[in-house]
Amino acid sequence: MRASHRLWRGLDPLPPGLPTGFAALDAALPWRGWPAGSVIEVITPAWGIGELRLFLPLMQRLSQQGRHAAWIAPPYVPYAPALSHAGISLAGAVIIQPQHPQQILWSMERLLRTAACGLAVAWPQQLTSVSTRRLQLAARGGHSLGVLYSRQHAGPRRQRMPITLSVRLDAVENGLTIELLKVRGGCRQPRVTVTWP
Amino acid sequence: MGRAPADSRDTSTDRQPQPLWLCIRFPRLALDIHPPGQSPVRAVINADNSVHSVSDAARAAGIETGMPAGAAAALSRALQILPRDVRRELKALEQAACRCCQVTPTVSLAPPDAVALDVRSSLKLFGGFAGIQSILQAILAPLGHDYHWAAAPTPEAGLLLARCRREIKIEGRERLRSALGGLPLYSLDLDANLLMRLHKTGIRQLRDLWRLPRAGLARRFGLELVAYLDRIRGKRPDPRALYLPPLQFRSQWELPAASAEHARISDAADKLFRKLVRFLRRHDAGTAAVGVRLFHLRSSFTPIHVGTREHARDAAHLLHLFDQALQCRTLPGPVTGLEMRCADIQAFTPPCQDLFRNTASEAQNWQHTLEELEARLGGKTIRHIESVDDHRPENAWRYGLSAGRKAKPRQRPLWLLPQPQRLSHRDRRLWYRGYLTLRSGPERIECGWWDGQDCRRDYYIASNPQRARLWIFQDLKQRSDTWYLHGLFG
Repeated sequence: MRASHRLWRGLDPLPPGLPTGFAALDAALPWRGWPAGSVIEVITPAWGIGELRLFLPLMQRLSQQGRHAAWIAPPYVPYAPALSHAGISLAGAVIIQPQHPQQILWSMERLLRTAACGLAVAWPQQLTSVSTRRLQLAARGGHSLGVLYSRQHAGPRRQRMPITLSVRLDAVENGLTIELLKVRGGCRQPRVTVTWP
Repeated sequence: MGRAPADSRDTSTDRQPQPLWLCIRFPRLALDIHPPGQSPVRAVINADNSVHSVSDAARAAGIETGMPAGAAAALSRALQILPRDVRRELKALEQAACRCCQVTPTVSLAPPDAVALDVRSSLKLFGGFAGIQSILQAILAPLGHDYHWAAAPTPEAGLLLARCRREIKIEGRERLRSALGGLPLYSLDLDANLLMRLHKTGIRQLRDLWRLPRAGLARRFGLELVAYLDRIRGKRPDPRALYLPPLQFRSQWELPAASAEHARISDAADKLFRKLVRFLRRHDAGTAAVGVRLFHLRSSFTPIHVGTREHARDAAHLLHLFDQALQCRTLPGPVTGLEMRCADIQAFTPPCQDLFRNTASEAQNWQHTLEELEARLGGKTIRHIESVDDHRPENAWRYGLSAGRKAKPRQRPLWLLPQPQRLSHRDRRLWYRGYLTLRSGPERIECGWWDGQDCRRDYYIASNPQRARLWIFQDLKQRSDTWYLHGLFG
């Protein structure tokens, strides 16, 4: 019965995710972590509220597994001592600063498709639903995680993105509130608060 | 024992012409490779702190080769001491040898500071020995090294004469004995201890050595000495490794008709890449940089650079990189032909195969991806970062080839601003998108006075109403209350 395609089940057994390193967040997400083989959108009101710190445990884990992490068009230069302090191998990190905005998404797609690349973090200037779908497919093929950062935009929500997970961050005292805007596969609670260790 | 004719034999018949080794010695190569400094009084010192070579001004000040560096420094206040760099010397020597290949293919390096060339077969072409000399002078002039020359039928004799700065030409091995007789014993290229022992037996010139019986010399001073003397006089063969100029590949391909179609250009490039790879396989080599020129109708050309991160010889991969680079170019017109040049050719080491895990191919896969990105996005868009042991925050990292050393665990922001940003005051409080409140600190960082980038700062962690955590510092070098933003805790 279970093997038959004609049987519809409400919730597919989801693939196990990549542990986020924050127990509250793991509990709130249906994959018990970040969804592997997909793309996440992170909306943040400002740079510097802890938007990278959220992914440091994941980066550290991937770096231990020997998988590479790519930073595409970061707004500032990642500070090497801070990364090595967090236990992330600098040898596995590569910084890419494309000259043209459209090259950001091309590079990200190419990197996500590579199995050796575990994580690609990008700061794109604009996103379209077509390009997001391409990224999503590439991430599934390479079994890697893509993270797209964007600054909080005023006004109503833009067009819906074919994205697995979309979160909005807000800073609180010694932590972050993560508002789960869209979770493919069902959302258990709309808002999670994580505190820094 | 010699294959070469003995002294007694008359060689005027010239049935088999003897070689003529023109030896060129650059006495100040060790000094010349260093860029000129402020002081003309310069000395190069060996690893054991003895002076290796000196400039004219230093010689005038009384500094001589062989003296300890400390003694040399005591003689002249303005002395600039330079460390010896054997690798760069060899490189400079190879450069000279490469130029000498224009005169004769038989060029041999005689490190540390000389080259030997057999010019016998080129004498007629260049109009005699004088012609060769003037051509060599023109060839070597751009290098800017002083040199002494000497020509002799054996390379050792030539080197010996060049070392003694006797700029003469000796023809015929039978004349070596008398021509070299007047040279001092210490000019021989032998162990210092052996020379000392010879000196103690009363030998001062080579003439004294010639007179001694071979058997006795061999018994008392070792076969090494006798063999060396035999090589000087051509009684013993002296095979020399020839210098081969670095490999180069250059090939052209004409398109049947001018075309701007990428597929056509790519086809032609494929043929050239296959040719290149065959060439590399033949020499057991790989390349990391290939230059391709696309010629257009109106005499101009578009250069395309194909670079890999490791030396490789995979035609398909190189072509793929070429295609990526071609795709992001706009060609000014149809292409009539291609030319491929490759000068960066080095020994090829195939990637190691792992028996159990396929890590090698994964790593290669990653490298190939980065190469592809580089081909598409251009040279310096892809970089690695590494940390440096330095207290000054902006010097604690650099772009580089991922060495991944660990820095001391301190709380550091994940974003560092390229330049510290001056913070403004409002109502006598610090302002950055809102009033700032200091959270922790100060951390005093005060160093760099030794290299002119003096830095005295108190770092604090502050936060603003948006709850962004900021890394700010107060500059203690400036009088007033000046604050800067230096990083964000992302």
